Amino acid sequence: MPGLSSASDPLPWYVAGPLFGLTVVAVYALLNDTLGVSGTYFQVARLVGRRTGIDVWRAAFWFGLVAGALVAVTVRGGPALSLSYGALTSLLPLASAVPLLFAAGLLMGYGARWAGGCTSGHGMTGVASRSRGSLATTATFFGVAVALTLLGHQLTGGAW
Amino acid sequence: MSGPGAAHAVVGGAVGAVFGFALVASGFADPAVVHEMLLLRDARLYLMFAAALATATPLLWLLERRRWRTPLGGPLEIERVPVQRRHVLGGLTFGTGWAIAGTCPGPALAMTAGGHVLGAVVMAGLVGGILLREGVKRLAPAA
Repeated sequence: MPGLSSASDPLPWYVAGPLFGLTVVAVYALLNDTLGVSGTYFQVARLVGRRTGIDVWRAAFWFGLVAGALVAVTVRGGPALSLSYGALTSLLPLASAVPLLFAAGLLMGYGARWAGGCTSGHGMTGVASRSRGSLATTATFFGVAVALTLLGHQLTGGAW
Repeated sequence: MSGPGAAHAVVGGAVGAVFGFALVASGFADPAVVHEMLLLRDARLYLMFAAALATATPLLWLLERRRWRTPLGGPLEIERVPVQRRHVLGGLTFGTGWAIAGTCPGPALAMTAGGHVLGAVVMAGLVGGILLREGVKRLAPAA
């Protein structure tokens, strides 16, 4: 994956981790609010739907995320259009990969909204706040994701 | 909790930019790296997660202890919720999608920004799922 490949000197975990931690602290310290990306999607969807009472900082966060990602991609050689998706697209034709990825998105969107957060809102912000509900959510989605990935790996004879 | 102020937008945009940069730069936006993590073959993202928590947890604790007054949101109130059914059921649903796609809402957006067309397919699903849940919640608030 050009531009996103981890092989091209990724930011080390001991730099990237604290950086993520500081974003959580900044949102609490400045805005008294919880950082969570799935909530920013919801606010942007409401913005597009011309709803009133938009959570301005969440919508701005979503667009800021795009800008920050573009900077990082540019540093690594610039954005490039690509239809590849790791092992998934080498195993499946595009006609199967597209509905599968859409379904995966549906599950994540529904699940995140149901649980009240995703990897960032519960996994980072909630766990760092020592919120029990967030700990339960995070343990559940990490456990399920690891179990299903290992199962899929076994069923495909190690191809996935 | 946050009003429609310009300061809120600046903070949101700036923090989002750092977040998006870190997503791509760390490898978290690459589904192949996440897949390796979920296969328990690459410890890097687990270490990154641990480092994020090791940074944020004591700082939030300290801010709360010092009764921090936030410049844009009043006195700091850390949100804590007891374990509810929705946490487990939502977590199960979310984790299933995460395993299939090797990405979650933030990385999917960062990946799409980098030109990965299939990231947009995941994003379309995400928005659909979020709106579907909102609809279900409106029709059956107890569900």
